[in-house]
Amino acid sequence: MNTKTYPGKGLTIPQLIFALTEELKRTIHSPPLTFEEVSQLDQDTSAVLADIREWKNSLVPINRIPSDILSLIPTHLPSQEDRFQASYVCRHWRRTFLQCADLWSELSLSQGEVYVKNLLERTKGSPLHVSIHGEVPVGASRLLSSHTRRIKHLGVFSGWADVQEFSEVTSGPFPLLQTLTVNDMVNGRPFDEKVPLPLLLSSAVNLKELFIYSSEWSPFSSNFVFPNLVSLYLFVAPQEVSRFCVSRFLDFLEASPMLQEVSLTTFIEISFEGIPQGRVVILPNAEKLKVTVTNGGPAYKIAAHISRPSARTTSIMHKRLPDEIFSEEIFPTPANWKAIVHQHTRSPLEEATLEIKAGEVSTFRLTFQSHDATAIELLFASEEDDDRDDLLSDETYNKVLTQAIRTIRSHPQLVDLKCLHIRDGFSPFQISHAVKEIGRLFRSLGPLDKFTISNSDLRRYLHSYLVLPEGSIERIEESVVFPSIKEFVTSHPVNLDDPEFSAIVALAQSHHERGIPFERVLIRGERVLLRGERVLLRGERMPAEMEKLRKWVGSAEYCFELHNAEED
Amino acid sequence: MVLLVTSDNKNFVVDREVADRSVFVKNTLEARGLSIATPPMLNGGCFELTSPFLQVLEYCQHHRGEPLPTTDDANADENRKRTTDIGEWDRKFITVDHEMLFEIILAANYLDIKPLLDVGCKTIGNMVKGKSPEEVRKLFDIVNDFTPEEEAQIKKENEWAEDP
Repeated sequence: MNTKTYPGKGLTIPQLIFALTEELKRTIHSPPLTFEEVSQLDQDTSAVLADIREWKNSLVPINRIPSDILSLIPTHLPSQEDRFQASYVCRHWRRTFLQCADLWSELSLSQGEVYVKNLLERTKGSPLHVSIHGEVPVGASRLLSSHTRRIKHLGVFSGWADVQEFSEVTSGPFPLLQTLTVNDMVNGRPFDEKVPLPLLLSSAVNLKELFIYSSEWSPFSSNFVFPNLVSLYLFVAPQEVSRFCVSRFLDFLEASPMLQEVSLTTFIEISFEGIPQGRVVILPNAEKLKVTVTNGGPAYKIAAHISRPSARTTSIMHKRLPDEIFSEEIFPTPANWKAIVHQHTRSPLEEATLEIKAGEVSTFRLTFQSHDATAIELLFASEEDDDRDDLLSDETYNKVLTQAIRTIRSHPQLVDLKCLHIRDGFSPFQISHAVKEIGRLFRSLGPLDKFTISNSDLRRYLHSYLVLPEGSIERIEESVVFPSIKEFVTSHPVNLDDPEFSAIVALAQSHHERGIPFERVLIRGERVLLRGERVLLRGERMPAEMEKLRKWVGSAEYCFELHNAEED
Repeated sequence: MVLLVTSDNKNFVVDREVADRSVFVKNTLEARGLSIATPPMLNGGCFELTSPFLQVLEYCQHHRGEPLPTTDDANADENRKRTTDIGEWDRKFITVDHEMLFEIILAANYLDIKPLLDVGCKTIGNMVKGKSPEEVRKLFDIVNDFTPEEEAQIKKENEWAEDP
């Protein structure tokens, strides 16, 4: 208890309060006080009471945290609303949080003039995150116009017309602006291209990130120039009429030579009109390029026009929805492919992976990786529609497979390839075509350090070595000749009593006889875990069948995948 | 190995890699070329460190070897804030009573372990998120200390701060 005496009175605070209470009891009715006098008393005691409560609050555990740490707590709150609520908890929190300018930097212009005025005061001189949702009161825009130098992030979530309006009212400059997001997917008002405008936000010379989500992307290319742009994410939504003009996209890239990351996703037809043959835009710093075209044609053609000497990853995706007519061009033609690889990296090719999955979305994915981990990924994904039967027929699958295999074979650095991985989830269709293509692929390859095959029906690869009852599978004349391989791995379960395992032994024997034996073979098997069994792989005795394989290879290993009997 | 001595004279021998999670300890050791650091006085008073310090050590052990956050990337710092996401291990680690949580925050601040300070502040942020001022007061034993006039001011502010 505080026993300090009140200056000049010789009483402690508790004594004073006691005296006040007694005085109140004694004089409450006599002499009578007026309403105003009692109101004043009420007000004064409320103030005193609030001070005592504030004092009490200073002693609760959370308020032992120093103010500079306490003010960090609301910085982790993603919503401005929560930050407002936190500032209403107590005087100490309110004082602390109102002092912290960073907390109030999110400024939604659509919330009106009073809001903008108050928040601008609270933010003092700190950077602003301004967002526009729908129509903005003129007064709010006007208030902001003298603070444009502080805008660090600007998000317009209502349409190009609002970007246009904003750039007219607040003409800048925007020296701090780093991120601009325009999303007109909801309630976008049409952009009036007829109005002659200076370049939108042209004074934002330090803009680093540009995100556009739009069904009307034309204002983007013709009205913006951001020479220091580092990241571009452009998402062009489906619409009835327009086509995505690659020529204008290339113009924009050319004017942004600092780009490090480019991501383009379109849902509309892409047009290559007006692009001179051989046009290449050089992005010397671009590390990532991702092009995803859905229902719009071959995505790879765009990548062929962009040179990226510093590239780490290039990802080209062609997605086909059920209503898209099947395009003949899925994977690059050899000439285009050569250009794409040449413009990506000079590092020698190390690994190639072919991954095929059949299902509701059928995918063909090709990945080419260099020793320095730079990679090119090509993906074709076709969404199936059960109600229709004219989609990816066996014939179409075969075409895509042919193109995919051709892409591996025509990789300009195929001679350097060390590892090939095939993850093959074919649906059961025309095995003869698959055998033919795989045979071609193997014939194009030089010696491999490693070959991995997984999730496959091995008949496509091993049919020449399979001994099966007559008529049990389709007989194919063409044989698949494997290249020289140091390490052969099946990473899908193979049972040692299956014909597949015998075929692997026969393959190993044939390589031995050709004078190019496998140095190491790793077979993954599967075995049911016996009830109560706890022993796992360590110490597991090598199955006797593996001796058959050991004869022909440097080393042979077999690892089990154990699973519970109940699961079967 | 490094010997750390708390204010209540408890000794802790830890790997240098673990001790270096604390920028305070790291800098102290580097500046003095010593292997003994004595952290622990706070606000001029004795700070009973042993209990939170054990927790802090557990955190440092778990995160040893991870890259320390740099101070030169303002954008990363900005992104780190404005979120209440906490990793699974950290979430379990910081599931302690309020008293210990505040002690850990104080220790993390004093020892300059920014990621732990973040975890602590995010945890409180998660407690506050979506709650009314009255609910927050209840949670932390705070009483409403605003005068009626101040409350009227807040009410007015709440009107313009709300979504239109």
